[in-house]
Amino acid sequence: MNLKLKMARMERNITQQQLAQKVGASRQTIGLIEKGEFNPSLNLCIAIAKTLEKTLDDLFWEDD
Amino acid sequence: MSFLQANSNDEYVDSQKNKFKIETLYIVLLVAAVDLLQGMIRGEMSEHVILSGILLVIAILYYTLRSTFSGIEHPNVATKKSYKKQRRAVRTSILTMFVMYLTFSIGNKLLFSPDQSWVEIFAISIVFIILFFTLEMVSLKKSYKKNREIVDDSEEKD
Repeated sequence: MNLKLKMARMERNITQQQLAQKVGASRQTIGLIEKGEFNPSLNLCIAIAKTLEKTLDDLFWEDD
Repeated sequence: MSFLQANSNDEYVDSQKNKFKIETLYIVLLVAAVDLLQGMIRGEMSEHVILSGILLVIAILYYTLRSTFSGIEHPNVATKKSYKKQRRAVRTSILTMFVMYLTFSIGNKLLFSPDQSWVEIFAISIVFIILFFTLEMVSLKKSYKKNREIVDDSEEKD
């Protein structure tokens, strides 16, 4: 489960559908990334990070 | 033989190998399609032509069923409203296809196959459309169900 991504999205008050549209993906893809069931490509990670104004570390780095 | 080797644990090598495997599959299917076409044009339905036809049918059927049942064909349908809207769109497109297919079949009978019976034309059209409609609706339902499971709890679900 990628809670960091979900929290960052909620901080900016945007829905999965809105984020999906902004990064050129589907709602299903965003949902699966948030659930930890799909590993996105680096390009998609960067697009998401830029849209949410976060770094890749903020969104995808695993804490110990 | 590298084709038969398991994954190498290297992302780049594995992704390239998967790409090559897909290209290989396309070449095999292209050869089968050409074989089937030349057999049909010449009217020679030899064993290898039939085998090519079976190969193509299996490939198309497998891909269609996998796509349909995995729920990936309607990735943005996650609310009841969008589900109903998409259901209407599917009905409209299926009906349009039915009319087009029927028109083509009737045109084919009138111009090229006068011996073909009307019952046969209508029966094939109806079976074709029922099959297509069922697959589309199953696909939509599977996608909707999958998307409902991954929709954020805080978002509107209806």
